Amino acid sequence: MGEVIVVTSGKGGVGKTTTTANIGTGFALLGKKAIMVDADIGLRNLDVVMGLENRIVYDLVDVVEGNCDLNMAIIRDKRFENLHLLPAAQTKDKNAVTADQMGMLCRELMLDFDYVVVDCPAGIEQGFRNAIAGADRAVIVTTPEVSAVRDADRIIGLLEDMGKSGPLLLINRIRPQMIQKGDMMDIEDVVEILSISLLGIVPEDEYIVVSTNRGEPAVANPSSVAGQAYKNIARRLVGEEVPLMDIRSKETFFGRLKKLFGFS
Amino acid sequence: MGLLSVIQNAIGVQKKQKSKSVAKERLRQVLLRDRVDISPQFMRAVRYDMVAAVSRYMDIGEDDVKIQLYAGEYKVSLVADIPVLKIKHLARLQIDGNNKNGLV
Repeated sequence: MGEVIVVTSGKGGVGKTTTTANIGTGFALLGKKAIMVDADIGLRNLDVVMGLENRIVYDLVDVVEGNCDLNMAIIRDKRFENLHLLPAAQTKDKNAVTADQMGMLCRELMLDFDYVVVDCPAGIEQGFRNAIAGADRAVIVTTPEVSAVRDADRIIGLLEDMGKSGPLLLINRIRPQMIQKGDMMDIEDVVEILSISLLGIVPEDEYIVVSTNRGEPAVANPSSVAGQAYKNIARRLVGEEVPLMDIRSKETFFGRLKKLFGFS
Repeated sequence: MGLLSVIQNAIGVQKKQKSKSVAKERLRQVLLRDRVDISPQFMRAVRYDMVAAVSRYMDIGEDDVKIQLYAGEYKVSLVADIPVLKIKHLARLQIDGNNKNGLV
């Protein structure tokens, strides 16, 4: 029996879809049978981030409305053994799939897959509530910014109210140099404010833009620092003990000198 | 502490606060407020149960009960103003026992 993990954030643009793509691909690279479900109906994006946009025939709404079998809508990613995608509908609205239908779909997918990773829409409205309906665990994506952390706090409260306990925190787009200068909240600050367990950290990495351009998830690239961070995160989710990535940037001699004299 | 800040402290020139500390402090306060921003229905439910609980021990001016959440600087408080009309002596007897207070 598999596990359903929902990736959510409240605020848009913090990296939910990128995270879903990389965690899903990360599972497949670890030899787990995984499927990514795009629950952002009307604004689908997981297909393009994964480079699978030309392979879509049927979507999530077709399955729910009975226009096709579940298996007909599932796209198998030929580059990664064990990896699959169930795309969202682009033309329907956010309420085309109800919470009950989503729950049923997740239960069905759990029978076939080790991991079901659900990409949740931004916001706290019905679309969010529907997307999380079938989830066993939630991964909250945030960035070390006031607005993203505030929205994450809101989502954590809502998940608690809905009886989804133990959400895990993923802090994305960390800039070590800004943290060192005291111009970005560090990991401990964010964890302290939100007081939930930390799943992992992902440093800011230009390669994410390149990987999205190409439709190739960064986790498959050993030279991408964000990709490696996502690989660690996938390993932790399957139950491995992996230490937090060391994000401290290498100090230069001049930097140490400046610090000594208090200029940094 | 670097040399510069030692000198700055000595001559009373304060360094500008790091923006990370500003962010953290602002977040702390905004979340305190967000977390107490709850619906009137929710507060009505709390009020209803509080009135029922207190009424077991004293007669209260139910219509004048005021219950509100306040976000202070470091904590959130539930403040209740409940006018007491009369202590229920039977309840007091049951709890305090017959001998205490010389009541029969």
